[in-house]
Amino acid sequence: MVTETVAENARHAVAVDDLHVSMTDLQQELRQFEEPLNTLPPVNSLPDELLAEIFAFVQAAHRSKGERPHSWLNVVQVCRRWSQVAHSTASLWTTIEVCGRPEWLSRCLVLSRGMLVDIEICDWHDRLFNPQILLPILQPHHVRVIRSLTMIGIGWISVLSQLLKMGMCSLEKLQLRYTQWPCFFELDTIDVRSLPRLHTLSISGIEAPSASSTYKDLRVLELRKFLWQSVTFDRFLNFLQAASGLRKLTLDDCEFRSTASGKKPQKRSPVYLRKLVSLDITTSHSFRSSEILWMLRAPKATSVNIQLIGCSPYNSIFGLLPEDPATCLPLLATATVAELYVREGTCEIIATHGSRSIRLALLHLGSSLEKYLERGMADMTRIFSAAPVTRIVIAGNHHDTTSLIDWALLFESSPLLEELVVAGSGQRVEEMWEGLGYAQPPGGQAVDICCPRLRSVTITGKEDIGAIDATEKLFDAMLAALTHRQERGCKLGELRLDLRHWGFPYAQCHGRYYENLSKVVDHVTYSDSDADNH
Amino acid sequence: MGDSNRLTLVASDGGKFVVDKEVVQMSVLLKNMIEDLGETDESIPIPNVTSPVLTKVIEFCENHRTDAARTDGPNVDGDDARMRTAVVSDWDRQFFDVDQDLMFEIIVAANYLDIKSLVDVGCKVVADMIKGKSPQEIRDLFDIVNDFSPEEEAALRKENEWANDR
Repeated sequence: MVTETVAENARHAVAVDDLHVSMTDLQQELRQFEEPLNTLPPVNSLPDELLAEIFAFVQAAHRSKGERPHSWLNVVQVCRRWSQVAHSTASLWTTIEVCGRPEWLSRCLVLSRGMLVDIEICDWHDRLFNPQILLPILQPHHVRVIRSLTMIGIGWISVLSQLLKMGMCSLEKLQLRYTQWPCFFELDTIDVRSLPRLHTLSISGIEAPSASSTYKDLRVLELRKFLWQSVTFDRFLNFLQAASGLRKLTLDDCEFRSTASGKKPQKRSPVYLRKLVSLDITTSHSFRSSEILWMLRAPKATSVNIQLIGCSPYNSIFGLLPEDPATCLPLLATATVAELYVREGTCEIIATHGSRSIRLALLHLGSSLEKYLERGMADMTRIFSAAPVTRIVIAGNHHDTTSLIDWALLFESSPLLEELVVAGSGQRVEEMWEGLGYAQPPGGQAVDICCPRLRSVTITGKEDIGAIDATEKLFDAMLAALTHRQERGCKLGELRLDLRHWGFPYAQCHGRYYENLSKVVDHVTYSDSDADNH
Repeated sequence: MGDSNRLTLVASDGGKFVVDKEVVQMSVLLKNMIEDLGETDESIPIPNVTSPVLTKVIEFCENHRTDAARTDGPNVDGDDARMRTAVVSDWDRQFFDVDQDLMFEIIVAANYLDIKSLVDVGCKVVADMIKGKSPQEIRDLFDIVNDFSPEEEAALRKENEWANDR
């Protein structure tokens, strides 16, 4: 009986084995049919390089949104061809984000096949992750292909020291972010002799190295959120003096060892950064912004952003610049177009000459929004007092107000003005017309009027700022000013109006004013912001 | 003598298209051919591209003819990543609102004719279709058959399982 059972079990086992073999054969056969089937879908008509390009776009899309950076790996699980294309495209594996997964680093280094790689090591999402475990993976031949290294968290300082000793000869970009506060560490000197290609250094939350040599070959320097105990502001300026190739400088809540606070360093000569394009300063000490702008000379700058946090009293852009702003930013003296935009605590002045322009922006957090436009116009008047400005754009919050004096000062200091655009500057545009009609050039006779070359005026609303309301007072002021100018031989060539008709119907204002305006202006264009209402 | 500012392209099915040279020059391949040929009235055959596809390619080039002049110069941080994350315009998205056959034929034709902006927009549109989808959803979208063996599939899944757990 037992013998029979054993024999029967053996027969069943053989039968099961046979079935397994048959199943494997059938699966293989099935795959032989399935694989050619995958040549039929239109997407697989794409050559490998285009499929790889699409994967790169998928990868970039996930990364740019900061969501699950490795989600693009779904593509390798779609079919054999996609898997093969993804795995054989080295460039897809060159951006390596290691957050507690050292095996990912290892895999990417193999698949990137010696191409330059960008590595981000981060322990933010996995507090148990110790970056030290990466060191056995990062062999010298790997370290030599690191193009960009970002380290975020608190455990990477010793790892960095060891990597630096291994000689990262391809490293171009080093970003270090220390996330524990307060930080009692200071970075060792970064020996630039072992980093011959380094051009971008970004340090946040930890004291930056205090050796001048670290900075001399940089193109981009970003310093954020630390107090530089070992470096005074004056010494920092020496670092900048040595960094003659610097193109972008960011100082975000970065302070220096105390000096005589509030005083502008007068004794040293200014620092010339002849290649600097972009300057960003965020500080809670307005004197620091002022000091930097006083001491820098940046003839090629196109963007200057200053963010003041909780500073009081209000600081204007002009107030932060040197007495003669053009010494720091020469374009301000030659600008032919001057634009002012005031909204939500931000005052922005743009100066343009030919194809070059510079943007000065002041974001003032923690202060009242009142009178921003008025102050911005005063800034503009002073900043461009010597510039040959022919076009002015003023766009302001519709809650803001301006006075006749603000406008008169602006027009009196713009003798070459040919075109004026006023957008969304609220309830007081009639003051602008009074200024335009009656302001006189400095030293002029009673018969002279300001801006004699003015040919075009546009009054319009602006999407993010608000519309300008049509009022009888506005039309009266407009008509009086334009008649006054016409009688003195300065007839306006073109007037473009785009107003909002609340409480003053379009038909009524059109009937009453349009014909009269046409008598004192060569060409009047009238559209309205609420055209659907009539 | 014909208009020296225009030339004739001939599609693989014989369809003829008279186009501004300025428009055609968005294609690096055709630009080089025009330079080699000099002033000529001869038409240029495009043997790999059918009339419906060439119609779409020309439509794209005509709409984007001024783009080159608008392109900014290099910036401090400039690299491919910026281009790859650029938003596809409404016009471009509508342009690619066609069946999959035509969509991929346009991309292949753009690649052959070396029109980088069209290749980039096409790849970005396809990438947007793929983004955020599971492997099975991608297969369903493009009619792709899962040709992995169960063992291969399991191995791949294991290799990449942590990719989604962050």
